[in-house]
Amino acid sequence: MLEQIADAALVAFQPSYVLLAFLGATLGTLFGAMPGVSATLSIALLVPITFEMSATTGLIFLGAVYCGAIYGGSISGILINVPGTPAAVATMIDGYEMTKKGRGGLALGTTICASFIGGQFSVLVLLFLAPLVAQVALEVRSAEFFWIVIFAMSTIGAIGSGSAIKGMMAGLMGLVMGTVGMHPMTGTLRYAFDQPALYEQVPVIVALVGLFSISQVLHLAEGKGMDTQLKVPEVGRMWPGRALLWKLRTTLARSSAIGTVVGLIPGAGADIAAFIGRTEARRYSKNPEAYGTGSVEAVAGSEAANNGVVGGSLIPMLTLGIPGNAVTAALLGGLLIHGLIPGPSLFADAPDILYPFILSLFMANLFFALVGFVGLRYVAKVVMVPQGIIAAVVTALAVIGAFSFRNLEFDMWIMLILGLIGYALRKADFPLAPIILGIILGPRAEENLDRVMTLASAQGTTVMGYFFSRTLTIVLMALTVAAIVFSFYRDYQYRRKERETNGGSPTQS
Amino acid sequence: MQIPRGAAGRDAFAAVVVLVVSAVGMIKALEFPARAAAWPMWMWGLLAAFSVILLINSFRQAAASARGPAEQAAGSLMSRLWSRQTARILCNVAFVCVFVALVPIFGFFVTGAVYLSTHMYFLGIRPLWKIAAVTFGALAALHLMFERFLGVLVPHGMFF
Repeated sequence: MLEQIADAALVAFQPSYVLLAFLGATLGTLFGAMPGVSATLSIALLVPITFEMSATTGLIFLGAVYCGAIYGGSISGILINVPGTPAAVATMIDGYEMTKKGRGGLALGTTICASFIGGQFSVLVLLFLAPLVAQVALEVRSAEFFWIVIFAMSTIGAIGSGSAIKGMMAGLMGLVMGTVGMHPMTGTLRYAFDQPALYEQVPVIVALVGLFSISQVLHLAEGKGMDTQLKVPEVGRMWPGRALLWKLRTTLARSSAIGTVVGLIPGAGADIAAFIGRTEARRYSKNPEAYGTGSVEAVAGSEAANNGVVGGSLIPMLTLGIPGNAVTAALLGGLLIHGLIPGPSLFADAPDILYPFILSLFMANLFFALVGFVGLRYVAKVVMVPQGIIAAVVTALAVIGAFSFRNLEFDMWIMLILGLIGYALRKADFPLAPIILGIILGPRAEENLDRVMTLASAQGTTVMGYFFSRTLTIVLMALTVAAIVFSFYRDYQYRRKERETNGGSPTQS
Repeated sequence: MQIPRGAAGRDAFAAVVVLVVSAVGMIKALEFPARAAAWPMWMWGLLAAFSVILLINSFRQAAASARGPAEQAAGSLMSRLWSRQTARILCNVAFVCVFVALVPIFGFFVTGAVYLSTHMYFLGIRPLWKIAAVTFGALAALHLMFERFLGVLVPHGMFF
């Protein structure tokens, strides 16, 4: 493995790739800093740029965008109390309080350092853990893979931040959308409505662009298009100093580890990691009462965790082909475009692409830190771009993204329809990430279930009999049941809490 | 029985819509051969089951709210369904739909110029020179980046 890493370093640190990582990290930071433009949306909008690139080039660019966007989200949160990405909400709580007290520079500087440390730690874990996981995953057979997918989908309800029932319903909507197109075993066309564009399946990139871009455009367009009251405040000195960073070392280390572990879990994204990182930092803090009033420790705790997710979330995506969240689903779309099928054999089949990609993430983390410290005064201007402009330009980019994927006009309509569905679902508080995970994982689950049915009938047993004959499958089935039971329990708690918050009446909006 | 309103009402509405779509999906799946129908039937079935749970929850929530403190007057049905905000949302949807519909006819850049400027104006972007600058700048950047530099095809119509 070390030899492969050394070879990859020669590729990854070529000037053209270094420049590309810099560009990706800068664009990601800028996109992430724009209020309302999430990391998923950033990647969905920038994927078309990579259509004509080689696989290595495209992946290095998108990986850098991912790192930059997760960091960039905190900038607008700290400066104007509007999170650029959902992952920045936890950072915003104390970051904006610090800005109000004239310590915005310290908040921004701490954010950069914490994001950098969290990001580098998780990429290090990715570099050494992913090949090992891939080796183990080579032993996974159809029955196990089917249940891994089902388990992954069931954890969405158990882990997501809103209603568990809605999370699971969104996952199921994705799974049914994944049935569109030709059934691989029988060749039957399902739900294709005589449209050749739907014969294969709903294209992941088009679905991503529709669900995340158009729904977001409509959401942005609801509000004031231009707020003339917003002003970027003076932030002062940014470098937190070695003494403060040393004081925060335990928080940074703990949150980096939390982020990486959370990233590994399907359904749990950077937003959840950031809140867990903040909560754990508070639990071990000597000064917990300062949380919420402008605690630099809270900023470090949440920010190291949300960037820690980057490396962790790529492990299941690259080794099993299971994206843990919407951003990695978008990246997976980018992999598929270049003919790379994520899964256990990817590390054996394409190490010349994967290792340079992973190494480039170290550079991307370095570059967003550089952009943050050196160019923040320019990045801060992006925070002020009126939402009316963002909404209109995002639509234009989305149309190009949907069309250029297959050069089909019909794809623009798929994008639009999914965008409208996504907007309606957002209005009803359904999460969108499980839908995209379902669209990606549904066909893979069905394909493996089909294989199991064939194997079971060849062995003269039932499908359930076949499942119960394998230990790992039984463990995965038990975990799935536990995740579903926990989802219902969490939903019960969620509704009870909502009732208590509203004094017995349902939420009004 | 208390009719769900507010968030509970929205949940109930969403549940009914999903339930109906699931039923249609299941009926459609009956046309497929058994092997091709099995997976979609399970998925639609589970989706329908969850919709029923969501529907029951929304009614329970409505019943709980009826037992709680008196709810504020919610206004007439018409005023709840139709408001300035609803009109604004529908206008935004119309802007995006018309843009997508006209792109294949007039091409991305011509339609894009009209779309960007009118939608930004509708969304309150002022002054006009800012709209013109953003429209021209965005389209020029997209043309240079996608068509000239990256060689990615964008939709062309009867014009540019």
